[in-house]
Amino acid sequence: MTDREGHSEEAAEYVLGLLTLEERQAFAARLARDPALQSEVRFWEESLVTFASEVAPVAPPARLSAEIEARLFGTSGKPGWWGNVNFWRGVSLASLVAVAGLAFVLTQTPPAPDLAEGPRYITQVGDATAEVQLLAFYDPAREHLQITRAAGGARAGRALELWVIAPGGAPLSLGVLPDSEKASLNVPQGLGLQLSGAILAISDEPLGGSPTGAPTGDVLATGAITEL
Amino acid sequence: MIWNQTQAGGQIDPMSSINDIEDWIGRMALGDRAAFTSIYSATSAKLFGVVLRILNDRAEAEDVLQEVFVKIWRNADRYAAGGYSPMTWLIAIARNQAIDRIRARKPRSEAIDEAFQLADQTPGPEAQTIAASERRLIDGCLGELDDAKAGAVRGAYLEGYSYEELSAHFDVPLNTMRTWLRRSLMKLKECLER
Repeated sequence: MTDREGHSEEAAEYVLGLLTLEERQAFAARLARDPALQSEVRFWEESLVTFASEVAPVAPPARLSAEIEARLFGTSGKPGWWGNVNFWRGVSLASLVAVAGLAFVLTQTPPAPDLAEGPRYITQVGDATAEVQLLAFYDPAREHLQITRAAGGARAGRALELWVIAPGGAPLSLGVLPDSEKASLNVPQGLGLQLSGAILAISDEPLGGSPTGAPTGDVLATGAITEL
Repeated sequence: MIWNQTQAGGQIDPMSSINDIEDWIGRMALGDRAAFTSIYSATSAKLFGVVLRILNDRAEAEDVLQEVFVKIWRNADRYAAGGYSPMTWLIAIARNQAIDRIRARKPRSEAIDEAFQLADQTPGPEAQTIAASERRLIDGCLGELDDAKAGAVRGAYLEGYSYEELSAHFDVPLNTMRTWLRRSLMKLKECLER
């Protein structure tokens, strides 16, 4: 059996839902980090979804939509500029100096979060002399990092990988940065709680990311994580 | 008609096209609440049907549907990177959430044998709305498996049967069931990729 077949069998079992809860959770954890597995899962989801045509729609009770919206948005009015990607995209157009200034202002006057789900963090990775400069914003509601690249990119035929390093800990990969100005990276569950005091670092890696699970190339930029 | 453009199953509001759904997901990623309201009203009945079928318990299905839409809102900005067609993405979130829930509860007490309808291979009326070629592809490939195995695949997808439940139903050891089904799934894949 080739690796790919093994992957595909496991992906099919996961998609069908044949596994026990423990097996499912173990697979989901691997899935979050493995693009090959992700593409197998996508293959099966897209292939098997035709079964769902056999399921008749059933209207959920009317109160449910209000309950969900209350849970997501609370009772307050508009969504803040805070979680708005457009805002952060705008930030990327400003100079890094302005970004740093803004980050300072934000840390002085944090707006009341519209979702009380944990602390928000911001990190400026790479100063003006760094090969790569970006702004990372951790959104606890979505458990991910919004990345806005301000300058620099991967070296030819290479990739940029983002790492989080807790005080005294080993670098933990947050994934390879896509080649776009804006990106969103999954933060492994529970990690959001451990960002305080940690730093983010970007390393130069082979395409697809470090083959070893630890940084292998030059460290191109770092930045301390700041709680907002 | 939406189902000519996607292979995802079932009816949603016929007024909304696959492009609308994709657009709403994109706008949700930007924090647009109106887009959330739109996607909810267009797809919640379909997704509720999917989770209800697996859970077979209304209160639990309502609870899971809440989690499903919370997840849809929160993961909207990861949608584009995943490369899914929009209904597949929504249905996958719904099924995953329902299956997580059903696996977390104790093994089902009622025998699945009654619910397990191997004979029920005829597509229901909704299935008619799927692009015929896609339907033929999966049906054709399932047809290459023997009935019991095709039924097991279908039952797992639609009713959320686990290896454990299937092995009890077919009265074979769990490992045998696993080997059996894995082989069938690889055969199915080979056919789908042909």
